[in-house]
Amino acid sequence: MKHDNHQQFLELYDAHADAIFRHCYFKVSDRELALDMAQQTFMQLWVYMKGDKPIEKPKSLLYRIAGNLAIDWYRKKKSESLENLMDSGYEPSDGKNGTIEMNAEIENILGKASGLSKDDQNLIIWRFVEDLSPKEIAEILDERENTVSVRIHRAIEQLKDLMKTT
Amino acid sequence: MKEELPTILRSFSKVRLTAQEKGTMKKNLESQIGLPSPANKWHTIFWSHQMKVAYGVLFITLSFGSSVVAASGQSLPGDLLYAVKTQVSEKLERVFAASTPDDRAQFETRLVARRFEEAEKLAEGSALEDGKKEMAKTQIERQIEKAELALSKIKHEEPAIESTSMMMQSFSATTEPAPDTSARKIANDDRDDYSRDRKNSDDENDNNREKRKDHEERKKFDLDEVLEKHKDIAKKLDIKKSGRSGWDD
Repeated sequence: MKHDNHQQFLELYDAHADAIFRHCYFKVSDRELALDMAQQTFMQLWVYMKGDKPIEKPKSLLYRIAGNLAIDWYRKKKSESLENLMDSGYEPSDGKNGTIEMNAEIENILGKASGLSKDDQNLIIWRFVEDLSPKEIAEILDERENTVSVRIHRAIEQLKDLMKTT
Repeated sequence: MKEELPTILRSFSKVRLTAQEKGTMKKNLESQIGLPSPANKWHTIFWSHQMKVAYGVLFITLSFGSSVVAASGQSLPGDLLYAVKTQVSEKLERVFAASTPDDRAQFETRLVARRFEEAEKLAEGSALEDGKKEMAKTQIERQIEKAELALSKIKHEEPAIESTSMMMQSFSATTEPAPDTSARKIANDDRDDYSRDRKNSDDENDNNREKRKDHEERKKFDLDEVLEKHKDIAKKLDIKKSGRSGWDD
């Protein structure tokens, strides 16, 4: 039983490590910090897996854990939040090669995306970066699929407007 | 913007862990989920099998007095305290005496001898005829199975004669005719030389003596020897020596 848990946990790690790391990275804009946060996310998943309650949607749970960890981080480091860093011309660093391989257009979009609410940023990242379906996002947010679809549509329109204004 | 916004956003997926980062994180996680946390570690020790057995003994000792546990050591199959002997005292012995497969096999073999000795004591009186025969037989057969299982888990390794001083040790220690091996012949021919060598290798001798003693101790509890030693009572109890040549022929 314990062995099965280990196996399942490692499979989940292999399948979602990149996505969770990316999710954390877009939240904190720091590679090392995102690495720590992703690891912490999986450790919390393990704590859930050791519990008696079966986990029906581990992927959703992972995003929810990572989201909560990011909120904690925002609270602690409010002055260094993504928005402020972006506004002051901060370029995300990969901690190894100086500047991450992102073209200027993407960086620009990231900066513009910071003008959106955090919820809308999440929606855009999940839908277009992580390629999650509206149904999967609805599971993470515990909302109706239709509601999520409408919110995604509005968020992308808002981002387009932000892109046009500058 | 030449490209559609969603398409550009999708290119964000280029951000990913390097293979090294992914491997390192996986290793970290594996070590964290594999090892109990300090708090869990104490919890694990506290409720480990060994401790549970120890709690059992402590409970019985406190409840009935240590004399009960001590008295159970002399009990025989069918006695009131026999269960205390086999289910408490011996389990505790097993936990602490058998830390390696080798020790475990030796311990289980020793218990086979103990079971036979109990049956022999029963046979001295008329207990075997009083319906305790089946009980004693079951206990012995069960213990033989345990010993065979424990023996199957270890590789029998005859300790090699590791040095010339060891050969001298065995030469002077025994008066029994030794097997005619080439090593033995060398030992005979060069006895004087070896004696000189031995002076200079006291430490090595001590080490080898220990190993030999250990081996002899192990042989003493060889299951075949135990079965052979107690063959009379085994025949009386109609215990078959399955898969072994000898007394059921």
